Amino acid sequence: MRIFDGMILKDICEESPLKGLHRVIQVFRDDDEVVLIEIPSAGRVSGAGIKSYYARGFFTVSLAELSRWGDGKLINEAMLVTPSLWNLSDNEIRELYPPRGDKEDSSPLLARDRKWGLVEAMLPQHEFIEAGQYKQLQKFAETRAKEAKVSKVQVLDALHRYFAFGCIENALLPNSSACGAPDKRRFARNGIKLGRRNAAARVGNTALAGKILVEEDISKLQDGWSLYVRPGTSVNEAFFAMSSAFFRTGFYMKNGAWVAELLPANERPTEREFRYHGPNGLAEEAAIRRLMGEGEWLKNCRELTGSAKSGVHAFGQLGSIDASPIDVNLVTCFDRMRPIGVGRGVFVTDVLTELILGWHIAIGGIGTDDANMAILNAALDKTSMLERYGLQDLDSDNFPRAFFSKILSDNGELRSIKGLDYVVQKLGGKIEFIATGRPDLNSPSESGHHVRHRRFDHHLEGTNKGRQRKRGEVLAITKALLSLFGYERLLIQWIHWYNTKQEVRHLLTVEMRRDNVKPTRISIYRWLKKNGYVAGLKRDATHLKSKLLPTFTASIKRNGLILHRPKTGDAVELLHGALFSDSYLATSGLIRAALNGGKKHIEVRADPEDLSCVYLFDAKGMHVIPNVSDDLILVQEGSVVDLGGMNDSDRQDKVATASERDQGEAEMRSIRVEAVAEAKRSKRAAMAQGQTTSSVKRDRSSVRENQQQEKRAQLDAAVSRATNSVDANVALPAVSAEIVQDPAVAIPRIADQAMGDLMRQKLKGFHQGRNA
Amino acid sequence: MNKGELFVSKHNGLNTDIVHMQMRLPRILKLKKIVEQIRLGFGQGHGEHYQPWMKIRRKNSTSKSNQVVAWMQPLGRVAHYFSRGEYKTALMILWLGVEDLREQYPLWPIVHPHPLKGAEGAESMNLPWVCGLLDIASEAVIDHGVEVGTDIPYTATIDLLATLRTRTGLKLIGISCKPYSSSDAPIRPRSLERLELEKRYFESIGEKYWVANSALVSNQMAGQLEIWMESSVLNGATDLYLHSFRFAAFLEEHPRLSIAEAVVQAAEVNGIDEADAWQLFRYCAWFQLFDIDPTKPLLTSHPIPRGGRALRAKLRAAIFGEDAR
Repeated sequence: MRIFDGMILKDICEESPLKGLHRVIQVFRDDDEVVLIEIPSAGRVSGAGIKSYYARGFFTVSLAELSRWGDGKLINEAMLVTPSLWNLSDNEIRELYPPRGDKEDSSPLLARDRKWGLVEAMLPQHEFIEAGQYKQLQKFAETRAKEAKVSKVQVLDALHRYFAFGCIENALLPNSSACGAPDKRRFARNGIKLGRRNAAARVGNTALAGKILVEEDISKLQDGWSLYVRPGTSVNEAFFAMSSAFFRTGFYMKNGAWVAELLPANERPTEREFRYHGPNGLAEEAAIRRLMGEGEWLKNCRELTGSAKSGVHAFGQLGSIDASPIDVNLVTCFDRMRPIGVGRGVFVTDVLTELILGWHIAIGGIGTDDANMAILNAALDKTSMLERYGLQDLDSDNFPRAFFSKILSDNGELRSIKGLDYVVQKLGGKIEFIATGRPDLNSPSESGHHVRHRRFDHHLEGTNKGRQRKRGEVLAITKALLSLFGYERLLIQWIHWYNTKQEVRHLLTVEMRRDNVKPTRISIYRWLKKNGYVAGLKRDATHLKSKLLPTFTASIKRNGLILHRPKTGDAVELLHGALFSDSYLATSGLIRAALNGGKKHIEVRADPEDLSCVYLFDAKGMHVIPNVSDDLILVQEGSVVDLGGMNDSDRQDKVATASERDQGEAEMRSIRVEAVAEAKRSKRAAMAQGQTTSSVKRDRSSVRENQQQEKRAQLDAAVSRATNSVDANVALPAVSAEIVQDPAVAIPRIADQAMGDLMRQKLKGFHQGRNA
Repeated sequence: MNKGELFVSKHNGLNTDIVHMQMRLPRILKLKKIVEQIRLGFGQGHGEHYQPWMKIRRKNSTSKSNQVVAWMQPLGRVAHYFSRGEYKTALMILWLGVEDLREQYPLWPIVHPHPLKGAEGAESMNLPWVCGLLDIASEAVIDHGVEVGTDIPYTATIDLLATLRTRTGLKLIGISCKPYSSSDAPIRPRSLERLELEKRYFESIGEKYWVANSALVSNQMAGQLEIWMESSVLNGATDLYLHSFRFAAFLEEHPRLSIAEAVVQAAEVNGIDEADAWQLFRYCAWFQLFDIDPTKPLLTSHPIPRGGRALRAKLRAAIFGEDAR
């Protein structure tokens, strides 16, 4: 072991020749000698059983032997932690322990200076001294003690402490400076009231000096504090509640209610005492903490130690996920008058760069599927998504992607079997769940929500501004205007601005500034990527889709797959706008099997916001099955929610128009029945008049002949109409029901009458014009 | 009175009726559940087949600490850490190099097989059955404790149980992770009793026991190890493994180059692209194929901070002891 000046040595076993801590004062290598001094420690107890802080004197040890002890693991080098008070300046000590009474300076400083005065003159004036001189110093102590008229022990104590603690003046500060500190709890004893005297006591009226608080009283104050100080209750109110509970004489009836009769004011604690003792003498924050409630305090008032970015060195290393309402009321894509409420969004943010990488907006409750969708969205290329929203002008490179090494999440959407199974077990990620009730630990997401609401959501039509409606304000839902598609389109553009345009100088490090990195998130990301500050897991897009896209059930029909509406229990509700078909369905035998009585339902994966395709995963891999519906707008802009909404809407309409519809059906039936009955009557009449002969065949063989007769009759009628008509294009007037009942008989008559009427009418007009 | 009925006293003129209320019963771990867990293999196995006794689920969140469920590449399985401190310590222990690291390992209350039983390499070891923690607690005059709401003995777990290959064979180290950053930190008496029981358990099986504090692994170090660990298994890029030694040698030979320059040049020398080079850099860093210190900030415009190998050796000696290979 190498021994050097100022080194601290510590015994590490019972066999160690040095007990406790020792300081190497000086090493005399030429003389093979080391001067040591013991460092007094608090644990040492003197023979009289009293704690002793006295530093024993200098002694010498052979350097070789000391090194040997070190090599033999009998002693070891140690670090000395000195009291923090010694590191303060005189002014700081004076502030902590101000001069009291008629003393000219702070007590600890006076004590230190007195001790320093004892030893200052004895200390060697140069650094190079001999080993023997240290022992000489001890001999001078007696002389110095006589000069200063103190005991020799006092001089030696000061001298030894000074050297033992590394020749610092503040080592001479008294150990007792921490005694009786402000934190120490004191109780009134011997009938003496603690604390400042009140106005009455100051003028000699001791009867009104106030209650002397003993330990029991303080306990009552603390109990009262814990019982009555609650969020929404003032301390003043809690004080009266506490006084009524603990410091009363009884109750009396007033205005029909029992009221506590308080003790006289001088026999119970004051509100000031309640405020002081109530929070258990803890820091000032205790009261605020209790009044605000633990959660609120942790969120808004807690001292923040460190930052969320602590230990995050690379893009993609830590993502933050959280859900929040979008604060905008939306309408369905098929009817702008039909509101669907406020959507909820899940956002995935990179903690280091604050880039928004993934998002998913859903209507209704948010679940694990939505969180997985957002994670998937963060990991996928956005080109096709931009095309779908008609935003090809935006560069997809401005939407970085990553499957994060670790995701920071609250205990919401992702904390489920599905979340843990897919993200961790199947995709090899990590999830860190923050402690419950501590949203401040997931600050990247929480602050992200705030920024998004303030800068985007709350400026849109139909926003509820994230709060209850104020008096006089129109209900936000009545102003709903945007569809989910429209909102997402705007959101994508805002995210693009947020990622590429918003200036974020606070994120620039000196390393980035040296490389003239632009203060935008995307520039920072590109710089990080270029310089190797990129983490994250490499995962194939298909693989991610197969694990993270939500599963839907679809019915296999002859013409393709029709999605079922999700979350309907055992009931099957088909979403008819979502018809997906592809040659694979036919060639794989899926449809054939279903038609032959096999499996009629199949699991597919789909983005509920994108009806353009579904993904079918089977032993042969992933198959993209496109939507073959003719309704282009629905395919482009619709979502599963919209399809569900359409079903609901249709169902409602069906109920609303039931009377009209039934009436129409009933009318049609009545007319049909009446017409058939009338025809039967006519037929019977004709037969009765002998219009039919026995030569007319009534079986199937006569049909062709009858058809020929019918055609001839129709031709004759047409010829007859043509020859009688002035204008071939003149339409026949409406034919009354009773005339139509026997076409065979009625047609010539109708034609004659109608044409005759028409001719007469036209000629009448012609003659009138000519006469005029 | 039956469960779910709340009796309101006659005294003080209050209502005297029995009020039928749906009282929320505490979630009780029943014997049936424990048996089921054992049957499913919880708290048993080694390596990638190990399943912790306690897992992070929907209902067991806490307000005290962050919980981490992570796929740990060196273990080849999902691990459940009930605090960030446990996770950080696990990262460090894996970096130091162990055969296996099992979290939430049960210290069974009754006589049970040795924790090394079934481990690869322990076939020839004469492993005795271990006395249960109930006996140890009784000997130490410490209350063992029962499962909440039952009289079933509590199944205590040790935060981490490392299996180490030494010159003399396989050894175990029980690691308890506590959020105490100094020896003066206030510790609940029950926690001290628990620690004492754990210590005695490992003494009874002749293995080491260590209480890790949260100050040991800084956020800086944990963050760095986390990134390196991702690349510790070159899945999907196994060809990079062939370049690793040459790549690391280049970095060792050019200590004055900045990390970014060194990686780019090493990539050229090895004929691999830049993205692969960065992955290889992390792979080599995890295994210390070149000397790099995870406790120091890593700036790629600066040279590699050296000292990782010394640190690792020092930590191994301090935690695992002298005979750790």
